[in-house]
Amino acid sequence: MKAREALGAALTIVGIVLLAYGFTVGGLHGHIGSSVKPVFNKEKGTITVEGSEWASDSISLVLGWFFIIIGPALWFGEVPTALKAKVRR
Amino acid sequence: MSVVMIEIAIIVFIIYGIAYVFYGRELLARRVVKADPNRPTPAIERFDGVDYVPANKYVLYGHHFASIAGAGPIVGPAIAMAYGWFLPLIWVLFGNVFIGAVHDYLSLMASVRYGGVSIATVSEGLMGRKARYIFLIYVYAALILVLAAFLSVAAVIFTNIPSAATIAVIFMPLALLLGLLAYRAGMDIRVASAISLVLIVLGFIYAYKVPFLLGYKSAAITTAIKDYASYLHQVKGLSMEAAEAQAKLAVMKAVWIPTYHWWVVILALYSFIAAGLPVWYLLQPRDYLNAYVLWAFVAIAGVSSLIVFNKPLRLPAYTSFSPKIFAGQPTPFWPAIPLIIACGALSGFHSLVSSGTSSKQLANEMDALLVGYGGMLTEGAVSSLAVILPVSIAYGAPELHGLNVLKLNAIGRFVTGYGYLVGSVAERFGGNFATAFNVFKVFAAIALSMFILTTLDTATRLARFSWQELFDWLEPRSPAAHKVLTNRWVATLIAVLVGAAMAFPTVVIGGKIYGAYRTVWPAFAGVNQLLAALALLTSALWVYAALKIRGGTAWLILVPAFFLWITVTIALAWWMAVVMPHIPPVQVAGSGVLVAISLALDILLIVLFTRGLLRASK
Repeated sequence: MKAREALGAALTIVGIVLLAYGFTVGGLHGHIGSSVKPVFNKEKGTITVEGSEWASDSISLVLGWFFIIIGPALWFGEVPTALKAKVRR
Repeated sequence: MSVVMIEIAIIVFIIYGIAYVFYGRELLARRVVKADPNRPTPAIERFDGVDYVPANKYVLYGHHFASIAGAGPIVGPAIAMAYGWFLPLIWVLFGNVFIGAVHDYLSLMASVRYGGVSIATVSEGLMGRKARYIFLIYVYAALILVLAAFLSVAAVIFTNIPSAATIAVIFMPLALLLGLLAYRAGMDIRVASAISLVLIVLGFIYAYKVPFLLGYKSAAITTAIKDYASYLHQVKGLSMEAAEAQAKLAVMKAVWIPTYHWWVVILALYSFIAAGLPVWYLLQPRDYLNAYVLWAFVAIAGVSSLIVFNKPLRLPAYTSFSPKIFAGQPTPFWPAIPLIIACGALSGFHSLVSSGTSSKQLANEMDALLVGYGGMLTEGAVSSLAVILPVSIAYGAPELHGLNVLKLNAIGRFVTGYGYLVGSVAERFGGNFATAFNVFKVFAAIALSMFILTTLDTATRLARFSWQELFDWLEPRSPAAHKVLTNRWVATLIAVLVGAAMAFPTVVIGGKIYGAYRTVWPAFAGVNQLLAALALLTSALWVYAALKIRGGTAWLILVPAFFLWITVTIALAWWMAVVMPHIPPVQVAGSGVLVAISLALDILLIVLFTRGLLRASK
């Protein structure tokens, strides 16, 4: 296996694991990721934000999504034989 | 006498059926282009495994339709309902059959006969080298604008409708799975499709229940807006209305913009990767699956309109020839209608898809009719059956408790009309109207986001093609520089960076937050439709000069081309004189310059076109 293919295989497998984790955790919570809460601070007269935009499931899903898009392209990079045969015909 | 849904739906079906068989197949494919099943297409002759790859005609149809659809066939007709339903419907039907579908089909076939190059490069052989480069620069600028707009619109949709983000994350891996099962594992395409479709249906259910949040959640901002507005009203002495507007803007800046920014970054990275990958890997299987979703979307609207056949069209057939549309100014149906309804009737962007990604994947010339002409008719069906008719029956409907759909924005009109149509069907079968209404409102929004995502990466790929064609002069002078500049990843990166730079910063216009591209966006409708006029003129010239078609058949193509050019040119001049003085100052400079440049190029290219026509007629 070439280095490029090995990297592709690793990204694909890690990607699947990350997606599975993200979807499972999201399903359990009823939503993926997290929401922030704007709060009005009366003393300062300004809006402050509580909470974080990112959670472990949303990070996993975004990373897993890119890994799964790139991974198989590196792993199976060649043009499929079926396609080459179609063009030759 | 009130008109009921079924009467219009039947007329729409009949017109499209007749147009496809007689105008598309008999006239354009057989008599004009003389499509030949034995002539090798660029996908075969120039096969490279990346962009030039033959596709099954239904796969290509799915790609073409999903790419040209974007948000255009939905947003434009929804806005045009201000004229009543009759005039927009007439424009969609006849503009589609005689201009839009002809434009798309001929652009596709002209490109195929010239080796899969863009319609701008086709113009070189007909109007000269100067025309080609002017056209290409114009096309590239338009594509960057499309890229920025779709980056921004997709990011807004994912921020505001988090379920649409969930389905996007689910959909791409499923498309890859389908491609790998069919191409690599050699699985029967029917079995692979069935597996993928079952997973997509499950994905839709999951997405409906599990939204993807990246910070912003609309339900979480109400209290902060209320508290801040009270403070501004009581302590700072602002009127309650002004206090609420200022408080809402401040809260949205604090929580909405960061989420929007994250989505712009993620989507920009996605479009960079997706536009550089081989088409057989992601684009073809994704668009093949997309086609099922889109067909389901149109079929649900079509079948629903047959089931609730006796629903009256409550919206008046005709309201006014000049309702207030652009910047609150009276907007005359002619010449302004092409600036309002684009994709549903005709759109310049389609010529770029036809002569960009579609012409490089066409496996057989006979497939072009379904892809080019049929794809455009399907868009018209989306506009008429999924937008114009549903909005017309939803207007004033008692089930919506006094909601005036014309007071909603374009997307709101569309999702409400679509939800109402399907909700009425559920009610007729004893189901719950409110549940079906809400579920299909979300379904409509998700389907819309899928159109938009496809258009996003297609536009990025097209921008790469234009960039590569733009620098062909460099190859003999400096092969090394040419190789670097036209490298597919470098060319894609340049397009994505420029597009993202126009989508990422935000501006406040009329108290609302938008991507910075909005400062020039009012001009886009004009730029896009001018592109349509130029592409149709180029195609008409190809028919006249290269295919040597004369007489009545030639006039059937030349007359609509001239009509469109005159209409769009006058519409642009009208826009500069009437609308521009009334748009926000931040938009005047950018949009004004863009329209002025467009008009100058418009005149220059018509001169070159006339010269080409005179040369050909000698």
